[in-house]
Amino acid sequence: MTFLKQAYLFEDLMHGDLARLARIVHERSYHDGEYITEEGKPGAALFVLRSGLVEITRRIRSGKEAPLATLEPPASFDELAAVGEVVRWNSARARGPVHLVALGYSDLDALSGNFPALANKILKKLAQITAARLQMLVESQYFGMQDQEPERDSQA
Amino acid sequence: MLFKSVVASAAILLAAFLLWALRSIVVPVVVSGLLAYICRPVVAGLERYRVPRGLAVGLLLLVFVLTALFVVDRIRSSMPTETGAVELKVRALYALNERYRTLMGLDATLAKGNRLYQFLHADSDPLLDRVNQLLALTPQERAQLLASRAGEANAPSGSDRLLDEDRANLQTLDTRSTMARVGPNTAGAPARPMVAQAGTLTQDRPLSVLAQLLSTWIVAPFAFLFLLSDTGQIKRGLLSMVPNRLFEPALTVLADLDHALGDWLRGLFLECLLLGITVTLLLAVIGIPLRWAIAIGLFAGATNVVPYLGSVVALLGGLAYAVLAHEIHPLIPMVTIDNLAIWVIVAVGLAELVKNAVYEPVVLAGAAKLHPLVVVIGAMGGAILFGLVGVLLAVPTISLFKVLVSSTARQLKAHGLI
Repeated sequence: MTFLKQAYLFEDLMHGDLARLARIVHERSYHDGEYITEEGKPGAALFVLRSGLVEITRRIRSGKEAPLATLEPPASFDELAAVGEVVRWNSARARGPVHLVALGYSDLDALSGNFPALANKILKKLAQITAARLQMLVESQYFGMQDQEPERDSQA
Repeated sequence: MLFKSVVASAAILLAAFLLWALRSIVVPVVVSGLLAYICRPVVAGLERYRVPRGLAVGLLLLVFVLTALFVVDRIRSSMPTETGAVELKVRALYALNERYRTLMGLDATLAKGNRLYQFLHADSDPLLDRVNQLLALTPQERAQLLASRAGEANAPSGSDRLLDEDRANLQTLDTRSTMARVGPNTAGAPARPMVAQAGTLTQDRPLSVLAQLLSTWIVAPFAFLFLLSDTGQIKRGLLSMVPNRLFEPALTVLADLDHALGDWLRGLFLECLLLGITVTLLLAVIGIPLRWAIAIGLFAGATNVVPYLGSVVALLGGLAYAVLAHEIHPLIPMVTIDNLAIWVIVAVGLAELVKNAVYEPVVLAGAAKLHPLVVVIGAMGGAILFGLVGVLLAVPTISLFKVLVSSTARQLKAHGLI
């Protein structure tokens, strides 16, 4: 629960909400080099990095994987997969032993039915993260502002 | 690889063996699970109002216990007294014999009737004999009846309708037994032995049946409490055993199963409700008093959880009323006391038709569709394996299995695993 509070995605949640969230999230462990998510495959959960490093990559024309970012705890990635089933556009691979917390699309869906206020807080945060990413993308694409400050903990 | 396959096969065989060996408690656990699933939103709703989960489960249990006590009390108070039951038997037997006599055009000797009688009597007479044996009063019951109508036992014919009907029943039994040349399986004489036989059975069986029920269903409330108190540990425990590359497919398959079960339960509840209302309305229209129509409709709706049982119950209830009724007040002028049974068949047939053609396509549209033949064969298989509850659980089990297979295949394909 202490760890969940540190994640940007859940930082606005109160103690009771965090306790409820802790009851539904899934803890996963990955070994070095293991794929957490794979490009082109459907996604059904978002992940929050608890320990270790995760490398975000994308396949380029030659078939090789180009690194896009390296994430550190408590970064989150693949947030859109928690809003609805999506086909992933990048891959995430463990660099060294990695421990993660996963929140499934179905878990968030069930949370919306049973505890709408809590689900609403998470969805609001997800919307903020998505909007911030879009803004960064637009600025880097059209205004060349590559050197701006990265978002606090969600770089993927 | 070979070792893994052997271990997996052994695990599957062991699970199947355990399932078969523990089949007597599988049904109570599954029924408790379904109940817990239905009650889960209520507990979550209480939690939203800051009621601790344990207290919410306790409150729900208290409501269940109070409701059960209330229902038992109502049933006990509506049960006829011993004398009432005897009177009901007299009236039922009289009405049945009179309806049969009218329908078959029988004369006073009960030996000659119309063409219908000539065509059916070989089968219908023994059947009626058996019903007469079942409903015939024992000497103790007759003594009880006469004692309850003290001073009227020697009353002249016509002064007490019930005693007249009893006399008529005795005469019919006598005539039928004469007609059948008095034998162990004919009307009248064996009434007492049959009652004695039934008494012997009821002395031996209730305790053993109760003990058997207790030994298997005792697990049900504990399973219900355990499953209702679960806040996701079971799901997380299952998913923690899944390899990483199968984590997201498994998450989606579980969600699909959850949706399928929810859709089925919601659809079933609505279908039962609509069938109950339809049966009530149609029976009321053909002249069955509203309180009886409501009772039959309620029972038909409740038993509709077992495929086709709701309509069978409505038919039997309606026909029983048609046999026993002395007068009716139908909204359709064509319905009379003599053809009420036919109208009951028409009304229940219409309700079943509406259920199949209108309600099921609408309310079960989201649930897994099953071919009627699959439903019937599944229900029969469930009955063979687990009895009546097996029939009840056959359809959701088949539906869930169908969703499990299709969703797993879809997910494995999407993730490039097959």
